[in-house]
Amino acid sequence: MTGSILDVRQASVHFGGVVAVDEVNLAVGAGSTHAIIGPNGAGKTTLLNAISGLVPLSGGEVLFEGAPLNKLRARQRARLGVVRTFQNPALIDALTVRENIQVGLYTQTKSSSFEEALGLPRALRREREARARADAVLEELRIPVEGSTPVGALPLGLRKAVDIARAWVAKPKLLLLDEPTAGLDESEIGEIESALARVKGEISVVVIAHHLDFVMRLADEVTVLEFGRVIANGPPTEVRSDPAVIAAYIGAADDD
Amino acid sequence: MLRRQIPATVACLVLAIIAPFFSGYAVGVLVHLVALAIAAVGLDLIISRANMLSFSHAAFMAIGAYVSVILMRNGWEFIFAALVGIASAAIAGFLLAIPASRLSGFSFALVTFAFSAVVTGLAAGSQLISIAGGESGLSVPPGKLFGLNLFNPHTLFYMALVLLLATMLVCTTLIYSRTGRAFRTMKESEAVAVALGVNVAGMKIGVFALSAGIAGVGGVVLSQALGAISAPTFSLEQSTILVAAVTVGGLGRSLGPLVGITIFVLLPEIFQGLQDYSALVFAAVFVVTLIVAPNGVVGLVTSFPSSVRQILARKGEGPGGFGTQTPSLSSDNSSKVAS
Ligand SMILES: Nc1ncnc2c1ncn2[C@@H]1O[C@H](COP(=O)(O)OP(=O)(O)OP(=O)(O)O)[C@@H](O)[C@H]1O
Ligand SMILES: [Mg+2]
Repeated sequence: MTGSILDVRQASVHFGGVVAVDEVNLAVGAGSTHAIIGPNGAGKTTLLNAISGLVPLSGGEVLFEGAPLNKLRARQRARLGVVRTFQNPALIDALTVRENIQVGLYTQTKSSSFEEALGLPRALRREREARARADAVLEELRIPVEGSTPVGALPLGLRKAVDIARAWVAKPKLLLLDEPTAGLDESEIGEIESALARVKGEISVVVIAHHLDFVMRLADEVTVLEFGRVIANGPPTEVRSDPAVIAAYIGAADDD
Repeated sequence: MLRRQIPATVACLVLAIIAPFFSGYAVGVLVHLVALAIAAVGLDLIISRANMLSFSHAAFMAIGAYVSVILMRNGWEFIFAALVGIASAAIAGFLLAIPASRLSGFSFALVTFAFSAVVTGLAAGSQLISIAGGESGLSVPPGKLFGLNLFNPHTLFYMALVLLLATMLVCTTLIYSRTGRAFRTMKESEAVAVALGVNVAGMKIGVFALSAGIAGVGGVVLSQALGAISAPTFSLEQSTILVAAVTVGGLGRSLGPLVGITIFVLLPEIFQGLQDYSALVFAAVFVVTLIVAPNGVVGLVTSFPSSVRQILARKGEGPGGFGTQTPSLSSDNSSKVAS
């Protein structure tokens, strides 16, 4: 592997007595798509939370582009280019698709709250640019929805797509996706998959998924978690035939 | 987005047109109403867009009122006294929000509750009696603005109306701006906002300070309308009525604060015989609205046409594709996080 963008070393997260993440090692190659799979409660979301800074590590460290992240707050990590989506996309239902995607531009837009509240020219100009950027991302990811559609009216599949677009517009170097396919039907999964296939190689992606076919088609590397521990790691085909993985995961939960 | 401003602007225009036909007393009541509506607009901003509940908005009105009146009594021009009063209210909000922004919704509301008690206690207490006048309060020197005498109720009324419109305009512009979207995302989920680079604590402090400053504007206007101020005008009860009024009017609706305040100002006039039971009447109105119209009076009225349409549609053949299911997601990631 030619240098990794993300290095998770001996990372542990404890919640009281619960060891949610247990001495996990994970290396994500620059430009690669890395899948994390594992049964419910395996610690996948918690690992993502630890990488993005939403929960503190109890042990170990996380390196991004070779520099430790441990001391940085979540929003500082976001500004460095570590951007994520959530298992349940929290969007503003009263606003449009375009306006929700614009939230992802928050750190990149240079206008002050004061200028914005008074609707001063510079703020209005930045707003026009942001609208154009949001529309361009809808186009780029081929999300089949009008920018002017209110988000409250969207089915789950499109909400997840808008969530990804909101993260994508922030120009991440490392995109962390928490179950972008959960709860979706085959055609919706297809849409998410083609959106991700389009950005593949441009940036590094860590994606949590239960849907195995999706993972096999998309990922360069797969890490399997169980009870907070890594039980397998490697290229998709290798991991799929690993007896420990079959026992722990594939037999149990390949249906969603 | 400014389209949403139209109903409230029309309401203000109607008030502006009918005001000259009103007696001085009636216009005085209108100014009172507009002053409270200004504070209510500020309160609605934090409740409906940033998920912060405040039981201290009457206290911020008090700060605006007392500071401006004290300065005027020391010979300051109205405009400068008013600006310093408003700034003081905003700074008080800022200072209160610094520690409070780390608290969850309920504890935050409790802190504002306590703050309200402290402010009215100080205003009425003996410690500051030489400047704040203690229980008997302060008389308000007549203000002048650009040569116009604000003790003329009609002049004051038009100034108040302009301030109300300006306040609503600024709030609406903010809500649909980059900053507004950031704190509205924070309302949906703090974790999501943080992960997109938003400084959640800073955002809460900023929005709360703005909201407190707006209440300060209402306080300055109210002091001019009353001619004399004292602590009970800005009591915890008044703060609670403000919360009830924006809720009854309809949270997040442009007309909500004005409608809610109108209901709560008119109620005592209507139920004058029941003076001792006014709290009961307020409580009853509040509870009944929450049950009958969870989106407030404005929400009820604006959704009325569509509910009629739905009933008609149910009888006839429903239009195709009308009932697209909206997934309601319980957001498990909205829990408190370290920012
Ligand atoms: N904030 C928290 N406080 C206490 N325990 C937690 C917290 N977050 C997660 N856990 C626990 O940590 C373990 C791992 O949870 P996590 O959500 O990371 O699993 P997951 O692999 O994402 O599961 P799923 O597939 O259901 O999303 C679980 O036992 C969970 O109950
Ligand atoms: Mg999870």
